[in-house]
Formats: sequence, structure tokens, C-alpha cells
Amino acid sequence: MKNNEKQFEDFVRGIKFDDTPGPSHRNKLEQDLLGILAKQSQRQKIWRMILKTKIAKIAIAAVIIIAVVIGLHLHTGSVRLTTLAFAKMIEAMKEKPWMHIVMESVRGKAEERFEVWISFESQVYASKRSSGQIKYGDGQRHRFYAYEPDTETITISSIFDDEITKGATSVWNFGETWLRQLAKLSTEFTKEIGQYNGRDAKVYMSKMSRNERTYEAMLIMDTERNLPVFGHQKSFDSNGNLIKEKDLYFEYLEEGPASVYDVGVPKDAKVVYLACPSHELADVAAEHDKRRRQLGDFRGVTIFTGGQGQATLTIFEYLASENQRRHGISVGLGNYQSKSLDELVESLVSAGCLPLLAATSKGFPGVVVFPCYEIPLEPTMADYIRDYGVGEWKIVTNDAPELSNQIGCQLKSYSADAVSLHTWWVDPEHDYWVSQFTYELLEPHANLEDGAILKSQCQVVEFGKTGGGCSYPRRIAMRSSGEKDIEEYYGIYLEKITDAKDTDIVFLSKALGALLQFE
Amino acid sequence: MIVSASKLRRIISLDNESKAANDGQLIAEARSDPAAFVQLYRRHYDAIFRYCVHRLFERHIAEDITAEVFLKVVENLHRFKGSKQQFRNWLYKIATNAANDHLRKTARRDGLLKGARQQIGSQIADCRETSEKLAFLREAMFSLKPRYQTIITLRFFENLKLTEIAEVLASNPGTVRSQLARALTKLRKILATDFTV
Repeated sequence: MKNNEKQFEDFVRGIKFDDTPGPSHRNKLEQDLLGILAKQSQRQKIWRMILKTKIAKIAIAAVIIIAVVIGLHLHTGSVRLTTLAFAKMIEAMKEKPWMHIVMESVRGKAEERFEVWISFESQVYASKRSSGQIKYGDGQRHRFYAYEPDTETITISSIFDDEITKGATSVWNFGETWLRQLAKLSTEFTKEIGQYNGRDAKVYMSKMSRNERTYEAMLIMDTERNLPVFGHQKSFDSNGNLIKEKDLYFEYLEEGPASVYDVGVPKDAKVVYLACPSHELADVAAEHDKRRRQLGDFRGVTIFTGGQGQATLTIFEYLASENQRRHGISVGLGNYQSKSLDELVESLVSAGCLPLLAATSKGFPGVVVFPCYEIPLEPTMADYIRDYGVGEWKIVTNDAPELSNQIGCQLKSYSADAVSLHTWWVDPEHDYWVSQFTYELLEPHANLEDGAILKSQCQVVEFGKTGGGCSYPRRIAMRSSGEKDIEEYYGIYLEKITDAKDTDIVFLSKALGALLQFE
Repeated sequence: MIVSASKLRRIISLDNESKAANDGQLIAEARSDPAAFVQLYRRHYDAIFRYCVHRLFERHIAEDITAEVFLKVVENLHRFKGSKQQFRNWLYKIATNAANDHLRKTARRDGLLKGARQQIGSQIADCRETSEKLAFLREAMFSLKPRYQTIITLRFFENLKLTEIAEVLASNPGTVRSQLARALTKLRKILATDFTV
């Protein structure tokens, strides 16, 4: 056999193939693919958000500030200094009537410009992308405007809760919490005194590595005013090649945009479908929101089994308390993936990977800037009402035994190129958790054969109870049409954040024991 | 500088490994970022194109199939949840299915066989040794089951390990090994030689 292989290898070596790729085909295909991607992005944005792990949205200001201070974040071994410097900067920013940030990024040949205006005083934020997309949130009037240049349409939805009002505070609270986590880590930083535009400035620089990438960041802060004036970030791959570069310019203005038109929306843009949720539905969502806040802050472990049999263990933080203000944030602390559940269990337990996992997860807190592992189902309804609430909302009922005492909140949504139906079944007996969510794209889906309709469903198979008696979804199954296998959150284990340490082997052992029913 | 074929293959293989190492992050970003997708595409285009040429023996068909592969990637990337290594194998899997579909749906296999035979005739007349070998190989390959063709191509042209081939074919390495042995034995018979034509 080996001889056969060797001889065949020699035989093959003597053959000359015309297999050099042709640049013209490669380039043409690249352009074709980019065109298809552009068309898909709108649709995928919606359905990806619903189906799988959801990236929670933090108010845009937090994203930008946190992006800047990613370089600043680890800039000291001293927690006190970090917190103090950051707090002073935040206070100075909040005193300004308007903050204007321009972010210019370059990735390869692709350039993007992103502008944001924020006023804490009038509770307004607005943003404009180089693609022409514009958003304007008016916290006082509870109105959210989104302009899509492709359709030249402004959609207006209601800001359902007082997220913007609170957001101005919670954004910073979140930033501070995050920074405290970061401060636990140690890394090199430098602080230099210099000048920026003729004024005294402090220049913070840091470097960090994560997932085979290296990040370098610089933030220049005006010494006298304690305000950031310029930021610069670079990311490199493992070979040291520059991947992305960003410049951030900060301005502090007396006046800002008074309406969505001031940000650049044409006056003749169509305005479509202002459809506020009914009062009854608003009450359901408010109760749902309230119960989530009561849940508290937890550290959790979940095992997710995919359609191909693969299994992933994830450690996360679920921060729901009033203290955190912004409910429903879950932060990924670490994960461990395996080809099958059996292999996962075997490698974690038999092969002694548990201590390793515990040790490796130590490096994660704070590195995850964006909350990334969301318990599915949870805050999507409120977010949808707030951000995508354009469409027809109604309360629906279903006589099926498993749904008869649940409240169905349904949205028929009209996006630029698709009509879809979203239904959240809220279960009052389980602390108003959404027990089932279905999504239907009401037109044939490209990924499915014979013009079939995409329908996906996410269902809580089993509820658990926290020590405090609150319900939480313990097992969740997700299924999409066209996919044979069910994807399942095999189990979610929560322990109060004050009791559990993610690096604690006892905590991990207990979690695995509870999830997999072994000692 | 002359680099031996085996050394060259090893260099390519190492290069591919280092590329694969960066793919994890890139895959995640490519789901929403066209620039990242382009990077991913450029990283894998050549390998997939070559694989298609080696499977189908014709450049223009290989280009069509390569385009089909990446279109499927665009459509399904958001569903892909595997590791960076699995991503490469996923591409091979899509390419394998597309190549097999092509051969089956267009009933191209018979035509190719006929074409190969005619080519052998003319090329023997030309006495170009490598072309002759290529034509022989093509005829022999197309007479194998598609699965055997895939195994031979992945093993000898793309230098994949048995475990990797097993992953592409959703099989296990033991089965792949025995199928490889059977495929080689069959090839030997078809070529009526000890591979030293």
C-alpha cells in the first residue's frame, strides 16, 4: 500500500498541470461577490441578529469611547489611577453641551468615516456613516429616526423605554465597570507629556495582544480640560502586517444637530410607517424589562451543541441588576470548543482540562469589549421595539396547550427588501421570559430550495430557578427550516456573580455537574 | 534556486497553516465586513481553483466551479461555526460537492472520457510525455467513483492528511485509508502499469 502511494506520488510529480490561477477571473469573481454581499447585508443583518448569538447594542457613545480607551484601558497596574483618570475625563465630557467625534478607519483599500454627535444635556445622539446611513435618537421625545440612503427613506419608531435618558449614565457606568475588570490585568503602558495643537497634552500609549492580533492605541488628552482630543488605533496580524488603522478626532461644540435633517438627510426623503406598539403591548414589554432587572448579576456557564454535533462551552457574565442599569448584558469570558459533546466532557474532565480552562479564562475579562454571548431570546423584544419597531405590532393568542396562557407579541416588519414576521411568546408564569420566538421571512429565501420560506424558531425547553427564585431559560433549542439538526443550548448554569469566580475550578465543576448530570 | 517538489509542497503547506491561523478572526469579521471577506477570499481562491483543476482537468470549468464555491460561501458563511481549520475543509467540501454535481448533472463524465481518449491519440502522436501522462491520468481518474477521485485529488494534489480528508468527506480516517488503497489499486489496473508510465 505504502509502495503504491509512493509510486503514485512519483507518477503525479511528473505531470504538468496548467493550474496557475488567472488574475482576471479572480478579480472579476471578487467584484461579483462584493456586489452580492452588498445586496445581502440588509437581509442578513436582520436575520443573523435574531437567530444566533446576539451582539447586544450598547449606546454608540460607549462603543466609541471604549474603542478609544481600549488602548488606555490597561495603562496602569494601579486600579485607582485608571479609574480616577477615566472618571475625570468622563465628567469633563458630560459638562460639554455637545461632543462631536469623527472616526476614520482604513482596512486595506476600504475606507470608512463615521461621525457621532452626543449631547448629554438634551439627550440626543446622532450618527452618520460614509455609506450615507444616518441615525438620530431623541431621548426627550422618545423618537428614533433611521435614514437608509438606498431607499431614501426615514423610518421613525418610538423609543420604547427611557434607555436614552438612562443611557447617558449607564453608558459611563458600563465603561467604568469594564475598566475595573481591565484594571485587574497588567500590561505595559506609557504616559508622556507633550503638546497637541499648541496645548499641553498627555499622551497615553499601550499595546496588547489578543487572538493572534496585536493592537496599538494612543489617546491624547488635553491636560487642562481633561478631554480627549485625538485617538489612534492600529491592529496587526500575527505576521506584523497592518490590518486596520483608525483615527479619532474629538470636538466639543456649543450646538449640535437639532433634527435628523441637520445631520444630512435630504428634506424630500420619504418618511414611512410610524407605528408605535399598542399600550397593552408596551405594558408587556415593560414588565418583561422590569423582571429582567430583578434577576441580578450572575456568572454563568453554558454548553451549546451545534447542528453538526460540535459542542462549545462558554463562560459568561449576565449582568441584569439595577446597578448595571443596562440589563441583559452578557459578557463572554472564555470558551472551549470540541467536535462533540462527549469529546468536550472527556477532555474537560478526564484529561484534566478544567484547571486549564479555569486558568485561561483568567485572561479574558475586559478583553471582550463588546458583549458577545447573549442568552438568546432575552432582550430582543425591547430592542426591536426600540430600534426596529417599524411595522405592524399586535398582540396575538394561540390555543395550543403550550402557548394558551402566554402573550404573543407580533411584529410584521418591513425592511428595505424583505417582509418578515417576528413573534415573541412571553410567559407570565416564568417571570415574563420569552419562552418561544419565531421568525418568518415572508418571501422565498435564497438559501432554501424551491422557493421555501425561511422560518426559524428558538424555544425554551426547560426553565431553571436561581437561588433567589427567579426563572431563567435553562435549555434552549433553535431550529431553522432547511437545517436538519437542532442547535441547542444544552444547558445554562448561573451562579451569583458575588459567589462565583470564573477562574474557580469549584464553580466550573459545579456548573458542569449541573449541566451534564455527573459528579 | 531549484526547490524540490516535496519541499515546495511542504512550504505551501506551512504557508497554508499560518494563513489558517489567522482565519478564525477573519471568518468572524467576514460575516459582516466585506473587506474582511475579500481577504478571506484572496487567501483561499488559489487553493480552491487548483483543487478544481485537479479534479476536473479543465481550466474554464474549474473557474466556474470555483465561482460556485465562493457564491455558496457568501450565502452560508453566517451558518459556518467551525474552526479555522474546518473552514478550509468546508471549502474543499463545497468544491467537492460542486465538482461531483457538475460531473453528474451535465453528464460531462462520458464526454470527458471520450475527449480524453481522443486527446491521448493526438498526444501520443505528439510524443509529449507529460501531456500523455496527464491524459492517461485524466482518463483513469474519471473512470473512478467520484468519492475515489476526491480522495486521490485531496491526498496527492492538495496534500491533505487522511484525517483532513475524512473531515471533508464526513467519514473517518480508517475508512478513507482503505478507500485510498482501493482507489490506488484500481488506478494501477486502469493504467495497466506500476505508475511509471
